[in-house]
Amino acid sequence: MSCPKDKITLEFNGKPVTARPGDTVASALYRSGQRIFTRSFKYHRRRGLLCLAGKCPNCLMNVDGAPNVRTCITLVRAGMRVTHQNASPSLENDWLSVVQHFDRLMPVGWYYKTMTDPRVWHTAEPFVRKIAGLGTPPSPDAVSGNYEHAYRHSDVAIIGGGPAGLKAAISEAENGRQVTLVDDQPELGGHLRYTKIAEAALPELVAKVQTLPNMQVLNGSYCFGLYEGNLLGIVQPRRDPDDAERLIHLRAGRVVVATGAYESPLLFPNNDLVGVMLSTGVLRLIHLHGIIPGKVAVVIGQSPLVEPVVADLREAGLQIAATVAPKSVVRAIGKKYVTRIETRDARHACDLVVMCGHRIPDAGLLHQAGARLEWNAGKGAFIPTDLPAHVSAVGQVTGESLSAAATLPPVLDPASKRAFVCLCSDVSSQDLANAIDEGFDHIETLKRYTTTTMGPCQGRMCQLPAIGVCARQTNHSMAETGVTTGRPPNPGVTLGALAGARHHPTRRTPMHYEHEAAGAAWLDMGEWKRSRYYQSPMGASEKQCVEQEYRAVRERVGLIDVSTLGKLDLKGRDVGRLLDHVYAGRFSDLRPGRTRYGVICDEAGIMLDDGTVSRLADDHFFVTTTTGNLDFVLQWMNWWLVGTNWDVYITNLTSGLAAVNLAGPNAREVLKPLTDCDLSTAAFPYMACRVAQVAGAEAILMRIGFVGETGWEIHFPAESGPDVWKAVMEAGRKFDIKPFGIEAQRLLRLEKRHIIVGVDSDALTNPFEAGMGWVPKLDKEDFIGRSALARLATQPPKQKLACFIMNEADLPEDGAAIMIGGQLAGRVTSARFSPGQGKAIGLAWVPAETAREGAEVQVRVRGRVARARITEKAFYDPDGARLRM
Amino acid sequence: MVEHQGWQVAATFGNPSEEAARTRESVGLADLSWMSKFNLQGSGMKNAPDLGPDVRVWLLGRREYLVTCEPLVADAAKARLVQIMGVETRLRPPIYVTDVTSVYTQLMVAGPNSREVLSKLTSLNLSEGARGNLSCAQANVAHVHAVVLRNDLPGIPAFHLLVGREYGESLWESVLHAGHESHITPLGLEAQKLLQK
Amino acid sequence: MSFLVQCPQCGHRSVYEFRFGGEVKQRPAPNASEAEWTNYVYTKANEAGVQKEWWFHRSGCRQWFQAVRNTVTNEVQESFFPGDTT
Repeated sequence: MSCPKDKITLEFNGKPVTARPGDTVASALYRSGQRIFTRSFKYHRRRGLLCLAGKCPNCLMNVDGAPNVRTCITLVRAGMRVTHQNASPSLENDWLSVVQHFDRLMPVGWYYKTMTDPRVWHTAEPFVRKIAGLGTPPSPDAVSGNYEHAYRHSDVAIIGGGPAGLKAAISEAENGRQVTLVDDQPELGGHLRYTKIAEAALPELVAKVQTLPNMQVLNGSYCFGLYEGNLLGIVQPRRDPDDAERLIHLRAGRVVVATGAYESPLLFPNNDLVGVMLSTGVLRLIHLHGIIPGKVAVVIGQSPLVEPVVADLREAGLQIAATVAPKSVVRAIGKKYVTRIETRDARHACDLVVMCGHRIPDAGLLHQAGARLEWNAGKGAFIPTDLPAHVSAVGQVTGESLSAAATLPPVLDPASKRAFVCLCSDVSSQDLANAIDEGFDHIETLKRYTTTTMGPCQGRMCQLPAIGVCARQTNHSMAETGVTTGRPPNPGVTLGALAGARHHPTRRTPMHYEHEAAGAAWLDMGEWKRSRYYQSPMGASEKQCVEQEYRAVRERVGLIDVSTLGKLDLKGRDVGRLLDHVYAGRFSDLRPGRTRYGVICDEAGIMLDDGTVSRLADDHFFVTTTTGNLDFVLQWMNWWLVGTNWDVYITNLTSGLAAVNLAGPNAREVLKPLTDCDLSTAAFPYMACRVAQVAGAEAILMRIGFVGETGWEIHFPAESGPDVWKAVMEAGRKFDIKPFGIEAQRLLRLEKRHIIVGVDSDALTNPFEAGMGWVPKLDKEDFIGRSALARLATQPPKQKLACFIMNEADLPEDGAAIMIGGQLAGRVTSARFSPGQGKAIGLAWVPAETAREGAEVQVRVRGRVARARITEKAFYDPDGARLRM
Repeated sequence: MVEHQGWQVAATFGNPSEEAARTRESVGLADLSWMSKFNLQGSGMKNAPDLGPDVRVWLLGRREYLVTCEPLVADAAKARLVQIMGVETRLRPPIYVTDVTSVYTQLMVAGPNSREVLSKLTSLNLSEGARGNLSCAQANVAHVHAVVLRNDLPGIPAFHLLVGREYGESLWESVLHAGHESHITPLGLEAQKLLQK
Repeated sequence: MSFLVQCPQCGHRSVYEFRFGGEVKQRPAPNASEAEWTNYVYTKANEAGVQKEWWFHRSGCRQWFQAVRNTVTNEVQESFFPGDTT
């Protein structure tokens, strides 16, 4: 049937491999003659295909740069580049396989016993990393495709597309529910695809599912977690290299788990040889891919599992050398591949060993959701019980039609150095026995000490055999030994899928592109982009640029974008009442046209935020908050309003208003031609506010001065932002106006001793310590924090925020230690070089008795101790005369 | 760019009929920030007022409504509101009107694949059953708080995303990125007029 | 933690959309004793079972409401706007 266009060529270790449509990477490689697919984690033993169902670690390879891809469930694609992992130089000849001859040197718990000294670890780590492990992560700069998230909702989610899942999905959809069906195999059908069951009518079931309009099928996608509230995490791998790998958050009203049962290996020495396979893996190769993986087979298994397998293998043309019971197997023999099975009374030559292994209900999702797993000896499995509400199970995952594959716990002593329990990290039954002897005799401690069940297969292959060994060695029953806790993600998820697409929100002020054109050096403040300073075209340093901006404000005039401030519009008859309650100060008596500074404290008297409150009309206030605290203040005010019936309505206008601060001796002259508002001090005094036109936009003007000069904070509609900014800059040209950034603003305010809440204060600061004892109006009957502040007012503070000046220009870092007499006594909160003083200045927390004019302290400046002097007053215009000019 | 009801608006991104065609068969993205918006709050706001056929009133919270309309009819809508406030005694408790046109960037994602694109950006259930035409919800879209309004074009599902103005560029980029697989097209004013027919 | 919280305005949404506002407590009178205030500010009942809590729908309608939740099972039994009579 195969004609050239039906052939797909992929690349394995640089060589072309031809595949058929419908092939997985593993089946294509097997058909091309590849038998060894991986080298084991620790001993570098050869490992071949085992489960063919994406459950075991034996076929992990690097596919198109992504490590640890389960090649047995990854469909082939033309041009795919596949490489092997953890073997050098090749899978066939791996020189590291000599490691297994030194296994005595690497007993169980080897890391814990050997790497007790950090120096030993640092020496050994590079070698250990090279010898042990799986794939290598792609290099950080290698772009390895894109990732995205998607959100879905459905009434019912069915996990598993086998017969039980298909039937459940059809029934739910026919009852009018929105159904999502998730299946991890390339095609729907589960075990019907490769076993013969009389009642099965797979094509009809699949066809039906595909015609139902309220059914969404996610095949080739795996569910890695079932979380609270029926949230399912599902990964949809890319289908071609341009696709995104997608993580789907599926919220379902009900979840039906129909994950079926999978097969896990039997325990006997050399059970990991290439050519020893699970029966379902062999049947998958035969029926899904038309590959007969051998000529002469030995089948290990017991009734009733073994008979249908033997019949199926015979029909496929395999010669059955023997059918042996699991308990009679002594060991498998073979150098590169399995060649014989030794039983207690015979040796059987073969080139394939088919294990009819344990049938494990795939109950990981149910276990995560809170179901209990209860041992059932007849079925030889832990069966999920006590399912949580809105989660149900159907099919083999419930234990339906399962039967035991071997006696558990094992009758004979299972301990052997070459009977592998854990294929992921090469843990043998002897290792488990040794660990139990060392005292790790609980299944959970045994898991952590030996790392059994912690590898890529997450216990699928090893959990039941490990419980069996543990039970036998500790003389407990299977039920007493119990299972380890299952947690998501299982199977593993790539970090890229978890991270998803890069949607980092960015907030740009209305004047963003004006700043960009003026050479802004950006500062990220949360999501906001703000100008730290404006770079000079002459290539001046940051310090020089900041100083030029500083001088412009102090000597002439400067303009800063403060659009990031929180801006709240409060309307209603009771706004004054709310503000009196929420702020420590008093606002109900504020006259329209006036602005007042406000501080919000919590009930413990801690300062939370500060800002300005302006009264525009009797029932209309305008409040500003700091950039970072807008959401908090809004939520805080709304919380206090709940259930009060006060007539207060708050609209957040932060996004709708641009704001600038125009400051400097020439600010009035610059603004005058742009506005109809009388700017004279008589008509518009310090701490007044007006609504007026500025450069054609309706604006709120407030005469306030964070930077300590005559100035106006102007708020106006965002869409007028660029026009107003340009108009002000144009009007200021004859005064040599300069835009200034955050750095200059921080320096200017520091000279004025204006604190920044959250920078100079912390989560324990009250207004008395911060030198703002005038803020709380304790004569108000009640407000938030009154009780605590009234008490604090009577207690002398232990520490105070004080200004300091140094004898030099060298700056201490923020947070640097303040020392008195060689003892740690406080810390610096802000420090800048003051061009006005020619020295470093700052704010620091010091003991209250030290917070007096002229006190001497020491400051740590990058490891060195420097001298500083405390000052009580602001460094610049301490009486505020310039603000009132 | 053209002048449209007092705003500078993109007329087309190259070919209006192709923009319209791609929207009809897959998905398009338009900037509708020029639409007038105002906020109604107050103890008088117990029911949504009827402000005429060209004006939409959306419930945002308890006694809080968002009004959207074209700038041309905004003044008429405000006048109508004043009239209602004056005439109907049941609205005697105060109503406060705040213009929030500048507060929001308004993007419209329209087309048969609009749900597919938006499902990559928001956990909000956008199915027909949960989010029918003329419904309103609030949720994060591309990590940004958004008011999501469903207001269809004739025969085409359309979702309007209202986010803080300063997130505009960022959200535009995110929607284009999420729509890449669906060959999303930016939509100019001319194409929007074609789609209204 | 991915349970659903029922917002009285927006319906069932993921808990990630909400800000938890703590137990509902009665604020003492302004002239209450220091012990009462200390108890109000710092002490929590930390109930293992059903308690009444404040929640804020940050990613949705941005309103505060109260919910009755079982802290052991995370089942939200009811939610409402306090003082809402209409």
